[in-house]
Amino acid sequence: MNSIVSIKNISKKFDKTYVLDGVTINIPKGSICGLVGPNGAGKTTLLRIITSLQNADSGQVNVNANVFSGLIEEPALFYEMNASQNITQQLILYGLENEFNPNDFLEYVGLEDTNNKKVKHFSLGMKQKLAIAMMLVGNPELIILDEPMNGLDPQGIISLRNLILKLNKEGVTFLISSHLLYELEKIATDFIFINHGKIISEMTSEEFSNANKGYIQLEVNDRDSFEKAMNDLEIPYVEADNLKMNIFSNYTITDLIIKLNDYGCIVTKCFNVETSLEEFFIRLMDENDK
Amino acid sequence: MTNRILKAELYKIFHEKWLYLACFFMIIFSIGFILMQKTAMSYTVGINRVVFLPMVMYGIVISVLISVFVSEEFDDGFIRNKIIANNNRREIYLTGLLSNLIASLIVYIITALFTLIVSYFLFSINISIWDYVLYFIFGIFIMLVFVGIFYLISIAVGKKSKAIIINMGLAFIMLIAALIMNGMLMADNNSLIQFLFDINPYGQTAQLTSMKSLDMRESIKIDAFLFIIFTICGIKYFNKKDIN
Repeated sequence: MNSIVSIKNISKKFDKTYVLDGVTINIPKGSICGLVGPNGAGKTTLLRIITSLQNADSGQVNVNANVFSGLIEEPALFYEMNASQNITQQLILYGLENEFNPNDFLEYVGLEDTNNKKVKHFSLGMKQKLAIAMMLVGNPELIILDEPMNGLDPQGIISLRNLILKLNKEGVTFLISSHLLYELEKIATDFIFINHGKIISEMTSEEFSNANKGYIQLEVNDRDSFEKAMNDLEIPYVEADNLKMNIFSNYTITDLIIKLNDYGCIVTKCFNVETSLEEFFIRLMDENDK
Repeated sequence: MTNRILKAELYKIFHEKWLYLACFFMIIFSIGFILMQKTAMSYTVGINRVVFLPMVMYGIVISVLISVFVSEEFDDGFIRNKIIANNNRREIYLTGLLSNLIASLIVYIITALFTLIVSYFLFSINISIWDYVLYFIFGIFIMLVFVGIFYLISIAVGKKSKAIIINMGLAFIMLIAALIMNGMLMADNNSLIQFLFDINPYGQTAQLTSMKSLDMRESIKIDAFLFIIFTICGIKYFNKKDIN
């Protein structure tokens, strides 16, 4: 697989506590990679190390992109300037001020009508859009976004989502950390789950869908015969309530009813439950914490 | 890449108010010093006593100017943009230093030329052009030390208010130390005090304002040495610094 970012065994300590502990990941080129983890998991530190804002204590980071941009925490904007001057500043930084018009970038994110309004008078959504426009300068192959949807209204979230999908179609790879998992689920092609500074799972959205088709919830009449059947058939399950069981397997409901019947266990109620990224994440974190 | 970063830095510096404010304040100080010399003395004052006098305030003004420029880069995230756009911290440090030198030089030139032009019509001319040029160049070397140390401190501190307090505080300490040492040297020519006076940029500023340099060549060598030391320390520190 062609990786745009390849990280090997990165560790970072703050005050004797490991914020990142032997992290190894690869971000496939052309992907939208969602970095998922609870607060304090090490997401921002990892993004900071990839963008060289922080130095790792050990390990290797390789970014195979000629140009890349990053929006880490606060957007880097000049509040005393207007949107066009902000873009010009970025164009100069990339040596492109004679090749592009700042308005082209502003039009792309829908900020062409802001004229001479200073950025300090912009709404949060407008600032976020401007930050994205600035990141597009230099035609980056990789864009790193840390909580890009924070504080955006629903309309802002939708337009940012569409912009990310549009750019990804044009070949831009994204690495996005977000707490809004339902949003991430809609756009990400790959997921990396991190907790306590360690990578606990990596999967593509396809693998995620296959592994999380959901689960079957059954209500049975007899617990002992159910447990025996599950153990014999090596089917993982979680007890939701006394006689209510959540089953994670490739068996269909009909198959399960027949198998359980063979063990003398009668199914009294059953239905399929879809698993969202949010539920999967919570389950994963619970398992990891155990 | 260095050229691009420098251009972007200068674009930012010229689009913000701080450089213009620094020039404005230095001109106000210059007018104040000129009026003081013109009205307070009963005898005719020579131009040599006025033409670099506003430079007493120069160290303090640029301590604020550099603190604001650098810490605003941390506040508005420009430093992050530069690092992401060009992963070479040595280049980023040097171009930042260079842009601050250019801004400080502009303030210096505007102050010096304004004072020279106004003083030319108000005071007796008792120096040659060559003397003026020589001391003007000496002032540039003093500026190098001021910028070198204030830039290093601002990069290390990163926060605007803290950087202003530390840099301005340091400028005042150097100024007061130079005044005390000057008094001590008048009473007794102690070589240690003399050395401390010479390495203190405000000690050199005192020599510049009176246009009586004890050993200009030596002072220039000291300035160049200090500037290089501060720059090397700054680069080494910046290479390890985590940017928030």
